Amino acid sequence: MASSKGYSGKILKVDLTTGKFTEISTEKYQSWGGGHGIGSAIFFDLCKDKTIKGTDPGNVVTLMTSPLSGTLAPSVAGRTELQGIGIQAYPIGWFTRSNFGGRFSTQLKFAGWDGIVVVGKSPTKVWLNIVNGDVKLQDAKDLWGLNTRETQEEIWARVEPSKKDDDWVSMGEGRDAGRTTQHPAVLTAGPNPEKFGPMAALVHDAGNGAGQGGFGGVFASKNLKAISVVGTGGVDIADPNGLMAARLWANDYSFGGHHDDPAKYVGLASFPSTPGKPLSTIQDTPKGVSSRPQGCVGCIRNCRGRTSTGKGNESQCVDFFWYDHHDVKANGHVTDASPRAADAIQLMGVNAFAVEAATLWIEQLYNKGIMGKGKEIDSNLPFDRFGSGEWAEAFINCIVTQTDIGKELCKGVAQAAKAWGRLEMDTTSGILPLQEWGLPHHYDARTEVEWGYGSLIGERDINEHDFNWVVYWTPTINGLFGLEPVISAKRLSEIIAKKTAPYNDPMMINYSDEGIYSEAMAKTVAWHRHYTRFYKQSMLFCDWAWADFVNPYGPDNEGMTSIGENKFMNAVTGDNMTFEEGMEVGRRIWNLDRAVWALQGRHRDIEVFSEYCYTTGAQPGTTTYEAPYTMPVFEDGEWAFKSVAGRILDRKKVEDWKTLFFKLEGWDVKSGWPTRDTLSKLDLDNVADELEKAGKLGA
Amino acid sequence: MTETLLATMDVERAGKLLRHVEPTEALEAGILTPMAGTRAIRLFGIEETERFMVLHDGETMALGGAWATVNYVDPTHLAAWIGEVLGDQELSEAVLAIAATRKPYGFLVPELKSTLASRIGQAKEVLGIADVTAE
Repeated sequence: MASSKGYSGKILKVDLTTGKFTEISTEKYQSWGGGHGIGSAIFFDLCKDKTIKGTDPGNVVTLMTSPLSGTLAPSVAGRTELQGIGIQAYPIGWFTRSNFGGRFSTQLKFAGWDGIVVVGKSPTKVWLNIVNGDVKLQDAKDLWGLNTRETQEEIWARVEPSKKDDDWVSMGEGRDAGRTTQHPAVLTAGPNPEKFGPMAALVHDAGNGAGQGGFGGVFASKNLKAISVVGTGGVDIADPNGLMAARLWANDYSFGGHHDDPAKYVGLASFPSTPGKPLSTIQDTPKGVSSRPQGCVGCIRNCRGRTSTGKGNESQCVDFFWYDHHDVKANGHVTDASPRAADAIQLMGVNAFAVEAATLWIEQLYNKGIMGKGKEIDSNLPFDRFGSGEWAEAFINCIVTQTDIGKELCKGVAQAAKAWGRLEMDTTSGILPLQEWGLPHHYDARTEVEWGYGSLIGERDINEHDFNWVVYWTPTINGLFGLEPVISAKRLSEIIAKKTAPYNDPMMINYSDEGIYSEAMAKTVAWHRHYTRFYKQSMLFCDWAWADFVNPYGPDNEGMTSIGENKFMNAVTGDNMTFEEGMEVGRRIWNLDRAVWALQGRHRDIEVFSEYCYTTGAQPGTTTYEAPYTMPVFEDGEWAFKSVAGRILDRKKVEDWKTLFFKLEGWDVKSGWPTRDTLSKLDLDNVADELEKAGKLGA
Repeated sequence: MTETLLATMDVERAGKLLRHVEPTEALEAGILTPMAGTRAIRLFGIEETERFMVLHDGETMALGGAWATVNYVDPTHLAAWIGEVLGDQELSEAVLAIAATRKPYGFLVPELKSTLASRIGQAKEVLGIADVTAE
């Protein structure tokens, strides 16, 4: 990327130990694109000992924007990438990432910064206050015990004491200091977050959370409670007309552009979000409660909602799902318990996915008579009211206050299982659904292998729904409800092949019993890792709109991906980057991350799923119950959609698949470590040198 | 939809059908979501199961995007559970007969739900339990 358009040009480095601020020139790292790429590169340069724990003062935490942040590029402008050594994964807290939406990245860009790098540890409890170029560390002693809402409101009051809700506010003394209607964008941990670090998320506004990695705990270990930013500048765009034209082009791919001609299905980027449609704008609204859409800056999706009751505001996905099914089961329908549960995790800043896995497991332990009052695992939680709002709030409270079973769960789910002597037993039976690295089972490695492999070869649950939407969800819904497939499995394979440069192999979505161990599946995982590392996590295209493979409004059902991403990027930056060039940057970032994991202790021998994946099929009678899991398969020379539910993984074939994958990536097949040849071709000789010095360079 | 008519039952069988089962006897089911994956849940009685089986129409599901969820009970597994745990062979066979039509799940749910509701009503009548309909 040669152009500096879209970038602010500087990254703020905050040394918490000394209290000093310095600027890093963005240009030095611009070849990495933005977001994750720049974050990984800065981490590699500044974190001298990558084997430290996430709570070590030497940990380097980055919060990065992209050139598209703060622009009108749809479903991309509002996201922020967060990285550093995490404290959630087990047994090693990998160098990892999280990501959140909202207004933070936009305000950071408007304040003149492409990102923030946090190093060291403050001697006292502080929060970081950024108002344009004015940066201060301020006393956070009185904020430390506040919940996320209280913290944000208190910081707003301190930064903009004169602001009224619907008025402008000046951000300086002078006439030209700049004005804004916006509250500062605040990212904060919950109350006393060091006490439940591995479970602690960071929350921004009402419902934007960065849960994975335990970064609330990492912030706390640095004595950092929150970061607030407000800016009055803008983003310098190379081709504003081109950007508007691209946005209008994208509108044709969205539900919003077809009010009078609604489709019979929705693509990932074309979700309806229009009031008046027969669909709610918020999940799990109790009967009689209305809501209206709310979304991140610049988004065409607006996937969250604000309710007439104010409960569950801006919560989404697992924020509700961690508890809604317990609510439905107890009460027959969604009640006030679901939004109360969502609010509990948002206000306390607790990782919803970790809580969801813990709740499923705890329910089983209680039902088996292992947990409860006077039982082997003693607990006074009101299990007789399981499914109520009271239970949800009591459970979250016990984690945050380290009481009852929270004394162990505050250290993490896998860590609690270890302390109770149940980790091996319960991940073998599958009643504790931790799929890899002690992290919660999300989508199933046994059926939807691109999700499982990507998480295993990576460092966290990938949480990327692009393939998932077209290879699992849409075919499965069609099958369950007798709908004609939107497109045939064969046509889907053709679209995927067309959009997955440089591999372009139609067999990449063959999820048959043979296909999941094939070289084509290695290409799928490699493409996915490279695509998401650059386009989603560096340029920050949102997971809930991109990659857009299949779209009802596209020509022959083809979505925007491989055309749209670069259309927006080039309009903003003025560059002429091709889709394939972006994929190559993604491969470079992926290799850099892999090198960091190697330095941390990664070896192929420890890259194994939990035992249940090899021994227990997802089916009635197991925790990881699956309904029909309908996916594209190529069998007997023909494409078809078929349920692959109940499948288990073959241990030897998984190992063989890893070998295929490592060969494809140019990594050493015995260790899984990157080789000098591969790193050198990616202009990463310095990385090869560090691996060699540590004895971790692939042969 | 054809309502399945089953023979009347005695007090003992009605009580057994409506009982809250032990955790070890619970029926496995799942909730499918497009964002959070499938979550296994346990159902502890026939009434809870009937409530859990929500009526969805396919088009709404297909257009539901991120908001669509499916409450899923395997029909064959349900039939076995009713027979083995709740001891109602007749209802079990009726459920199995519906499952045997091999219609897509979305088409089975209204029939299953109606059949369960009808049988629950019969059992309550035998036991003299009045249904309270809440508005």
